[in-house]
Amino acid sequence: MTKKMITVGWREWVSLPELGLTHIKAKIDTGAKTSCLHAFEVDAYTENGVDMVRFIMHPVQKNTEIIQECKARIIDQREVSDSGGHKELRYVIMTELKLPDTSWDIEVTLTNRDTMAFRMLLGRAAMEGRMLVDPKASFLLGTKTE
Amino acid sequence: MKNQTARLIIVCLFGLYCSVSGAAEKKTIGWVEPISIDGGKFTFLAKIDTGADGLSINAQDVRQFEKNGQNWVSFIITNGKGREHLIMKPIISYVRVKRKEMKSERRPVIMMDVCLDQHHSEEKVNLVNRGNYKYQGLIGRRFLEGHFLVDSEITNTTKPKCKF
Repeated sequence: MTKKMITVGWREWVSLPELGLTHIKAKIDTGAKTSCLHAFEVDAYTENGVDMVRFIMHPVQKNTEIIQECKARIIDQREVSDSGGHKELRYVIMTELKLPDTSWDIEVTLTNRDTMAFRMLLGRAAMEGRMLVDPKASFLLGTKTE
Repeated sequence: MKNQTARLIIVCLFGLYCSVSGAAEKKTIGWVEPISIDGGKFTFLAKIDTGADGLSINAQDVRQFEKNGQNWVSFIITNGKGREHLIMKPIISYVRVKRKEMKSERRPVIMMDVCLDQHHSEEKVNLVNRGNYKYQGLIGRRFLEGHFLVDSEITNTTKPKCKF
């Protein structure tokens, strides 16, 4: 049985509803294994014995005035190399990735490296068996509308 | 007026046909594929990276020199299996790569004919030295655009077979 794959562009608007992020522009990056969010003030804490993380997102690119506070359960801590080969220990969370007609859970790491132009990178692990990337296209899932 | 409407419909249909057939021609490849360079003389694995714009290859023993008043570079590419290939090319420009907490790096750029599956084109390629990097090349969107779709679940599904 072949699953129906969604064809997406290299940039897409996606939604992470469990984090309160309704419109976030993601770079769809087959060069990265793990997905990541550009998070600020990442702060781990315990809630009823569960390891949690709080962080702040600036969901809009180049706009630091809009702030979204997010929280999620920590599922792992992992050493991740960025594109420059630098290793960094990052918190890993699991959250729902929502597209117009479908959704599934993905693992996302949190980083505050400020060289990231996109607020989110969607990596291969999140795409496997579900998405094909058309490097020529952008925003095949629709543009931001509110 | 009627004539104009008819013409508009024809244009629209044609546009639709082109976009549909254009999409159908794109071949699905994996996130790692073999590419060949130098007219098919040397083949190695490259990472297919929709997050990158251009192309780069992992160059060892990079030496810059002057030839007929022009800046040239010589370097070695390996295929990860012990084979090496020496290349000499004029430098057409440099790119400055910003690096966190490090001095920015100046990489030579050369023109090189790159082949993936049946598609080849003469491309600007950055030379990087990643040392023991797993893949000796990185292919970004510029080369892929209009020819390929990338599937994150598969690797090594094509062979370079370009007609030069």
